Amino acid sequence: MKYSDELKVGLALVVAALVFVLGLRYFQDLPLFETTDSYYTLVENAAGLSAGSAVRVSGVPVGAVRRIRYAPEERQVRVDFYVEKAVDITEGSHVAITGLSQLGDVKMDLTLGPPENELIAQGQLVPSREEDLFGDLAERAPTLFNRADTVLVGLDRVLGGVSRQLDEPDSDLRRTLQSVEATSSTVSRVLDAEQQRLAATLDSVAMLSASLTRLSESGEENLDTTMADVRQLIERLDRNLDSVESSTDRLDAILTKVENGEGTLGLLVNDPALYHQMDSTLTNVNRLLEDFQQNPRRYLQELKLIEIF
Amino acid sequence: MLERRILAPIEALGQYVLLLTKAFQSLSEVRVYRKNLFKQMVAIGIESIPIVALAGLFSGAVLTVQTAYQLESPFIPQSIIGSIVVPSMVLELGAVVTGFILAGRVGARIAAELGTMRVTEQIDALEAMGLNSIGYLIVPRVLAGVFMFPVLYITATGVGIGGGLGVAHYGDFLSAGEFVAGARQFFSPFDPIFGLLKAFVFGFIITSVACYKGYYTGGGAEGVGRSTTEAAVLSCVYILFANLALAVLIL
Repeated sequence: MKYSDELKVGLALVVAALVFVLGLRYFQDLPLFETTDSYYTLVENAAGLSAGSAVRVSGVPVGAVRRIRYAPEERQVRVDFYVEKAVDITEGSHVAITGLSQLGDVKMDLTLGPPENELIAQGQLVPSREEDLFGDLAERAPTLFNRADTVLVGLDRVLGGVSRQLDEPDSDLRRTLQSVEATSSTVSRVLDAEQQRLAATLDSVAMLSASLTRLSESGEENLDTTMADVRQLIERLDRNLDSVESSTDRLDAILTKVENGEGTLGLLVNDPALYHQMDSTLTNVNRLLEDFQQNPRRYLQELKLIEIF
Repeated sequence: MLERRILAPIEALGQYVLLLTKAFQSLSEVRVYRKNLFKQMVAIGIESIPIVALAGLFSGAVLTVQTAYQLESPFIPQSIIGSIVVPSMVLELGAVVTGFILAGRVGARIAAELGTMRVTEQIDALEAMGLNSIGYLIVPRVLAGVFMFPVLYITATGVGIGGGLGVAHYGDFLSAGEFVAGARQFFSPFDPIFGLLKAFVFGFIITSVACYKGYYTGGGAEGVGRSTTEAAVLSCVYILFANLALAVLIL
């Protein structure tokens, strides 16, 4: 069968376009026929990450980085990426750039939030976290190795010195060890000699503790009577305090009455009439006495006895 | 004499630009010559698919083997071969190999066709009949080149990557999985788009240069031979220049 030119050309164009799009998606590690959701994140440093780097959840690729550019307004690197539609990115999800940039094996790890949270809308920000423990380690490893190396060299030297000292028959270390040995043998001899006296000392200590026990037993009766006396004393004191308390109560009642103006004492305290009367009385008495002083005759004329004067 | 030598290339450039201007001006007549356009698309595009696919297959396979040979080091992971072969095919070889092959196949063909029509005065006959020879002969060929070259580029690149993958897998260089993993590691979505752009430009260069050389042929059968050779050689040279210019300007 003869195909028309138009059909051949159209078919070639369609197949080529299909191959192009699918090839692009294939090498970007995207699912060939599923659709994807796109998101972006902001990171401080995107070293080693490139467009097409994998985005992984729990180590499984689910998407890819679409574009990386420096965002001047945020002063951070903006990473656009897409993820299969089946992966639900909920609030609380975050991404982290992982891997060693020296090996060019940099990926973006996506940690999903709890499934009950709300979904992050398409094209929105998924926050990022710095999580480059392994990279840090790789950066610090050389200095760490150098330090470990110097420590090991030092240790080696010390051990060499010790073994040299041990090998020499009259080295310091050897002499020290010998004197330590002599000291310990002396101590052991002394202990042997003093064994008898040590035993005697321990015996007397035992006796002392026994007599102390006896003493405390005999003192027990005395202690009992003393305690009984003290108890009686406290009881009496208690009774006295009771009566004091009742006295105080009664005093309180009396004072209350006085304050209210009841009874003689109350009137005396509260009623000023007595005071005023006494005051005027005393004034009169005073005048009388003055008068008496000045004119004693007026009062004494009746007293015949005094007329003698 | 010296003046003539300096001025001749500039004159040729002007003639070329004028021809293309006239071609663009008669772009609206494409509908009239639709049949001719599809005929050229089949002749330039569809019929070139086998040779382009073959060239792509072999360049991909050779590239893989030679990269594996060069990177024989215990410190480099084998997947790096994939990371080198795929972008090389996509960015450079897919477009350039296609361009060179088609400069010979399509450029020579167009120049010979138009040159023969010129020396046998068929073009004059067309003009005498009131047909726009540029619209009828040149526009369909250039358009066919611009439309079909991306298709050929995709064919060459796809088959080339497939060839590289096959050689890597069955030649025991690295497994297909490693190859793809390596390719994905450094894959940038812009690479194939840049390759496609190259294909557009190369398609335009080859067909337009060949049309220009064929349309202005003079001097009988010998002139046709000279035009054909010049069309093929100049297309290749201009492809190289355009390749460099695009890489410098866009990448």
